[in-house]
Amino acid sequence: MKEKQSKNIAFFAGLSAFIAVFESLILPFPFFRLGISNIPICICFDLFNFWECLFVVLFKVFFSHLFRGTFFSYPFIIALAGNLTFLVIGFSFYKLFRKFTSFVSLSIIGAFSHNLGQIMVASLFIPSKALYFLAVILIFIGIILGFINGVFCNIIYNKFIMRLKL
Amino acid sequence: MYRLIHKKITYLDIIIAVVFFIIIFFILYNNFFMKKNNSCSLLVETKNSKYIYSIYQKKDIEIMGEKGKTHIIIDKGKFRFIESACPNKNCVKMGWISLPYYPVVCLPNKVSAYIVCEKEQNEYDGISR
Repeated sequence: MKEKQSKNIAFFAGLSAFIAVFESLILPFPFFRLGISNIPICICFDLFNFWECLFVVLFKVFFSHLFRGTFFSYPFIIALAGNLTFLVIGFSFYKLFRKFTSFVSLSIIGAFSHNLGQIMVASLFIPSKALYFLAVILIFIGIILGFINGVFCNIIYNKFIMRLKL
Repeated sequence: MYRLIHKKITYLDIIIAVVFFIIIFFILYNNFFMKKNNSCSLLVETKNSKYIYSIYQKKDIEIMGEKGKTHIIIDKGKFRFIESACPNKNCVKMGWISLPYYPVVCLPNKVSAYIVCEKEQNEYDGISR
């Protein structure tokens, strides 16, 4: 049972990191992502405990930035902050409201908290009030994409995770 | 480990989505679309100083950042970064910007620029008491 659980964690960590790298290849913008790599992480929130999810998130951030060549640079620190905020807020929200919500609201809260964490750390590097306006646009797009990702997350969970009984 | 539950969109999901969407749309509407009678200018910020230029002119500006010079062009209502002393040139790739409050930021050189609009003070000259 424990071995199976370890295999599942490794599978989700690898999948999420792979999608993160793939996502950065298809979108040329420096700070804009679709957030598809967060779909496996949302599913992890349902299957694993906090520390296992922390491993998946850290693996995704470290591996994807190592692969892109931005390890320990500005984008890495900003992404790490965003992902950790998403993990803390998203995980606690999901555990509290698991029975009343699906992945749609987790995804929306996740997109919001992810952007919030990124903006808070980015404000240390960017010496401008312009960041506030960028934050509003990013969060607006993030919520729309979060909703779409959440719907896909529900479909993937019902079609694959329920059948495989991970 | 607990039992897996079939996931469907619930009422709470829709409420959360709508509430978030309305809040953000309201902030967006207030900041970007409520600017009708405005006078706009270009605000360039570096780590230590701020520069303001009129956006309705043709001008070449050279700003000294942390790593070197950043070359910005203003062309009657729009601006763009032409050259910058940064490795990735993400700021140069942003192209022409004419939207108010849409920032172009050069992180390595610590230079940012965006168009600011202020409401014209032509409604009231002053307050009498």
